[in-house]
Formats: sequence, C-alpha cells, structure tokens
Amino acid sequence: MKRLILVYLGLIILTIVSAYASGMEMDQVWIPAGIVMALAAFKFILVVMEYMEMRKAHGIWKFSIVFMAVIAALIVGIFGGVQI
Amino acid sequence: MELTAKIEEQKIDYKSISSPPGGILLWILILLEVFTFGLSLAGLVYYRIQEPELFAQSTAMLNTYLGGLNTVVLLTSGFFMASAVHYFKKGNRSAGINFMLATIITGCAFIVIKWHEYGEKLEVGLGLEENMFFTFYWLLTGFHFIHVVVGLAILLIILLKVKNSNTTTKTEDIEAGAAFWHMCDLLWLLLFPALYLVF
Repeated sequence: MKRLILVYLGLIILTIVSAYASGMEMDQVWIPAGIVMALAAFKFILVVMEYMEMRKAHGIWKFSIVFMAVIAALIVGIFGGVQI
Repeated sequence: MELTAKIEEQKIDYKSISSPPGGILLWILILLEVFTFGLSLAGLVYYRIQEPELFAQSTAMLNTYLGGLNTVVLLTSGFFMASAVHYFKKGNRSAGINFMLATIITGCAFIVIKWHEYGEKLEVGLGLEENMFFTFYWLLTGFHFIHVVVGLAILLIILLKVKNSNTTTKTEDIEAGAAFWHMCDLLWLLLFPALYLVF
C-alpha cells in the first residue's frame, strides 16, 4: 500500500512539473514539448508497471506496451514542438 | 454451499506469456487501443505541421485548468482502483469495496468536469467542424469519454457482483475491470499533453 501511495504522489508531482514545463518560454519550442511528452511517457510507464502490475508480467507484454507509449510520446514530442 | 461472498483465492502465474495481470484478451485490447490512439496522435501531429498557427490558436482556446484537473481526478481514481485490487487480494473485502466505490465516484467526477468543458466549447461554437484541430479534439476526447463511461459500467457491475453475497468473484474478474479502468488513465496521459500542452 505504501508503494501505491508513493507512486500516486510521484504521478501528481510529475503532472505539476509538466504543467510548469509547458509554460516555459524558450527559443527552441521543441524543448518544453519534449519535456512534457517525456514526462507523459514516464507517467504512462509508472501506471502500467505499478497500478496495472505489469512489472510481474512476461517481458513481451512489458516491452509491447512501453514501446507503443514511447513511440507515441516521441512523435508528439519531436514533431509537435518543432517550428516550421 | 457457503452463501457468503468471497473473492476466490487463485494462484495466477503472471510471468506466463498467456496470463498477464487482467488477462490476455484484455491486454490485446489495451495494446490495440493504445496503437489506435497513437496513430490518431500521429495524424494530429501531421495536420499540425500543415497548419501550425491554427493549431497554436486552437490549443489556446482549450481550458488547460480543467484538463489538468481531470488528469489529477483520473490519476486519483487509478490509485483508488489499484488500492481496491490490493485489498481484495489481501482478503479485506470491505476495504476493497470502499476503494472501488471511491474509484466510481472519482470516475463520475471526470465525466462531470468533461461534460462542463464540452458545454463551454459548444457555447462559443467550437464544434467538430470548426477546424482540423477541433475535429481531432472532439474525436479523441469523445472516444476517450465513451471508454470512461464503459469503464464505469464495468466497475459498477463488478462492484454489485462483489457485494452480492450469493456470488463468487474471481480475482481475475476484478483485475480485468481494473485493467480496463487503468487503460482510460493511460489514454488520457497521452491525450492531455498532446491536445492541451504541446502545441
């Protein structure tokens, strides 16, 4: 139970940090976008591994779901923040 | 036959490829859902590259405060659900039921906040056909909204089954319901930053 509470607090802190990061004014716009999506991917992995208990599952399941989250976050983080 | 409700104690080998926590069928569904929403986000990014200014203006019209609040609400409900599964597995049925009830209440809070946000958008005429950004906004958040409603229905059915003293509920059923609910968390964790924060 203590572990679940710590994970929950971590998720809330990461949400606050991503809200702050999204408001950062920078010359390179892709940096805050990249930070926000990296944090989103990290929160996704925390929920999958801890709340959904995938840390106990076979490696192929862990890899599949983490791979998809990372790819989605990379696409949005890199191309979503890029200035044209 | 014992008439008191019980959570069947089962020893599930999660390390086996055919039995991830929540069941193999649900995990295939979760992977497909994440893949589909991921593809939609790729589409969103593609159109953002075509019309960056329009997307920046449209994102600015979204209520980031309500989106952020809904993120916290969903994460809280996810925590309650994980706690419910934890207590059911420990054999503490009443704590499990209470946490499941808290999950459903916070899930309903998400629905109410989202409904309010939809109302705000419609009031100022920001509908599905406003522009490409809002087409994606309504489709992505709309499909997610439906998932949350279905998730709440699933949790309610499981809760009634667990509370009914004449039925036996398998741990796997509760885990499956929880996995579906957490999937709603996962999808929102990708949707919220992509729609509200990045552009």
